Amino acid sequence: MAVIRFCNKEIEMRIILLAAAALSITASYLLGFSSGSIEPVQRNIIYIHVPASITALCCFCVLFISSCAYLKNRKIIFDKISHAAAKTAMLFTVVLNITGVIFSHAEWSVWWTASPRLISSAVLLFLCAAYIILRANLTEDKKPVICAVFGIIAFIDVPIVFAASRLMRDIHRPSVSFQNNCQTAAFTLAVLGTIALAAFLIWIQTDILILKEKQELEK
Amino acid sequence: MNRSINTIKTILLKDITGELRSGQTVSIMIMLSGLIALIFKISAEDDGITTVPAVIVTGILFSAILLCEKTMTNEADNDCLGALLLTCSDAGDIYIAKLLANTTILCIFEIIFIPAVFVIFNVPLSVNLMKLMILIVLVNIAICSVATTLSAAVQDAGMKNCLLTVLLLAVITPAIIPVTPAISDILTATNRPLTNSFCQTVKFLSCFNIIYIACGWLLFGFVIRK
Repeated sequence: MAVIRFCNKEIEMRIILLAAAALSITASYLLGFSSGSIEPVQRNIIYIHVPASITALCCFCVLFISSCAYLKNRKIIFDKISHAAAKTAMLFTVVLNITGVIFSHAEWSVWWTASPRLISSAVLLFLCAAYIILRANLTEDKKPVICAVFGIIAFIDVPIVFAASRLMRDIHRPSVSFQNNCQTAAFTLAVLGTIALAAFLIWIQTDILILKEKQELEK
Repeated sequence: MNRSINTIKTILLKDITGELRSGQTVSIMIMLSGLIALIFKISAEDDGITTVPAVIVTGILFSAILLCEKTMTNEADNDCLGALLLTCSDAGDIYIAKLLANTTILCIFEIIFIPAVFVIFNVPLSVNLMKLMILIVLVNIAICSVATTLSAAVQDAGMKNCLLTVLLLAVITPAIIPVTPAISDILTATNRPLTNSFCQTVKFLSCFNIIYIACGWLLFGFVIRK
């Protein structure tokens, strides 16, 4: 009975998290495109682009923490969390790069240029892809440890990529500035909603991965 | 401390002597980088001096991949790695020895590669060779510090050669970003005092090396122990 109640509570928590994410993101887009619209219209992609970049960095933090926790405790749950965080980070870096290309064309009339932030986001995407490729090519016994080590190396690389990019000339705006409170509110809601969505995805992915492992063990 | 130094010295001498005796890897590295230089020269429209930084970086990077993928191959046979771990006090010592061996062999290869690039691309000999050497040695350490750990990590993986290339290029990109403009500065501004970009790049690469050597030293044990 206690187990059933725990499962129900967990499902309730997930539904609440997903609903919060969906509500925040919908409210953000409604607010952003009605009263907080930025000119020209393509620049409104900032409500997706910047939250995606912040969320991808949060996923990298989760990857780092769970990789360290796995190396310390050797509990398989931390390995599954790392895997889920890497997959979610991959999703958000893909969104970041696609919206970045569209934003770049609207802002500077070029699809891609060697700008520090564009390079940084491309390297983030390649690091996630490298982690997933590495995972697919390792034997089951070595997979968790090697992936945890690469997760740590990849996370350490993130601030270095940003530092390296600063040594180049930048065509990006120095920071995001909004003209009215509606724009700020829409942006904040988008960031919070995207982070909640990432948390939901990591949670559900972790459970799916654990279930898959259990199924394979039973076979 | 003395034990660690002795261990590092022994493994370092073993690896360098083995490579110098056979000359297998260095000859393949020279062949590959020579072909890279030739292809760049053929596709360059003008005299090609603007492409020299890219040629140097690409040549070093791909040769380093060829070199580092063999880092733990010798130790994989007959469970030599297990024996090595039994004799050494720390896996970090093995990492430092392998890193030094790889960096030394890469430097030996560059003694042939860099003059060859200068000849192929007609680079004037009045460039500041000291600055170029400092930069290249730092790049060598940066590449080898990451590649040594990654090469040991992918030792048992399927497609290990391709995997090392993908993983290394993804991680090493930030170290390569400032190097190409800095080499370009050295080649074009021959008699100017130390430029800002050179100093910044040296500082950046030094930090990168310290971080990744510390990281490799700490994590190498997890990677090689079964």
